[in-house]
Amino acid sequence: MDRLTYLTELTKALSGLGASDRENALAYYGEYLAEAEATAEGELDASAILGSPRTLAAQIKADIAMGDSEPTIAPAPLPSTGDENPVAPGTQSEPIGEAPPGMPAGAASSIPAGVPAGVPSQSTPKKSEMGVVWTVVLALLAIPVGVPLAIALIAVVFALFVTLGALLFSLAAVVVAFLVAAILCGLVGIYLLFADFVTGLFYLGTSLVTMGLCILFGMAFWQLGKLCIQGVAHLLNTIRKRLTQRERNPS
Amino acid sequence: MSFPITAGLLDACVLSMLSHDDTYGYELTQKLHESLQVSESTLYPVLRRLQSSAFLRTYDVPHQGRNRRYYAITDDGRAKLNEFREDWDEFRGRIDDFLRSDS
Repeated sequence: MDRLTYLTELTKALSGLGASDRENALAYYGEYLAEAEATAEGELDASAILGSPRTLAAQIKADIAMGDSEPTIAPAPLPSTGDENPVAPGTQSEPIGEAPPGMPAGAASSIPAGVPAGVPSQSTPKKSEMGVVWTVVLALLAIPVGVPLAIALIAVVFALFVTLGALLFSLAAVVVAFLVAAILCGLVGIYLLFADFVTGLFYLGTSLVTMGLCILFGMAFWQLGKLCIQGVAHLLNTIRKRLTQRERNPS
Repeated sequence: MSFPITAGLLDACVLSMLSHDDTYGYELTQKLHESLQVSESTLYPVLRRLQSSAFLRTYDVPHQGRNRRYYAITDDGRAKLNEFREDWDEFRGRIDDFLRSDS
């Protein structure tokens, strides 16, 4: 990317910054690239020197937004081999400083966006503080949308679990009740066979019928349980897919 | 290099370079770039910070039909540089106690 194209791109990418901050940065990097061009042999690739305009702009904006907090220095890219990826250098985060009055505007004549030359403009730190405040406000506004949605989703899934659990539990209780009844009837029937044969037979018959019902309900319980587990697994899978898709799509 | 260059070290290096001679952003960066692994966009925020702390002042010199912005160290800047040098001596001494001790 040649110098003028780079500066045009950088101007675009720096929109949203205060006028003086933008002009100062453009003036500095305009001069920088002009110097680099003067010493370069052949065509100058501005983005090989400074990284992509977007990355550089993001760095500049971050520096200004962070105000005077302690900066971190990133190491430089390894020495150029000649035809490296033009976006590679300068992708690191950069030191941070508060906006000073009047950074170089020396090379302003080389900047296409009509930046006034040589006049250092005042920039107040207040502007960047306000930027931070706005960012925090926006973040706070964004949170209440996401949190209740997540809570509602979790509540619905939880309610589903409780309902299915209750259904399965009641079925299990019915099965156990039938089993107990069948065993008791069977024992009573066997005992009565010797005392009162007909009543004993009746009890034994009741026991067998109850046993049959127990097995039928047991099978229903088994099938329903399997269905529930499969259904819940499927549901969770679907939710997970939706969530990861939503994370991927907007970016 | 195993050790990162912190913002304070960069400030000190820039002030020290400017204590010998006024110079402009590109030259400063190239000098620093010769021996330290810093990217070419490292110095802009450093210069901003030093200037806003009144350790530096700037003036423009016409050069080949455009302006070169020169940076010059102020008296406050020199005082700060001395502070940095003392801090550095102390810091280096402490590290040397570990790295250079033979016992």
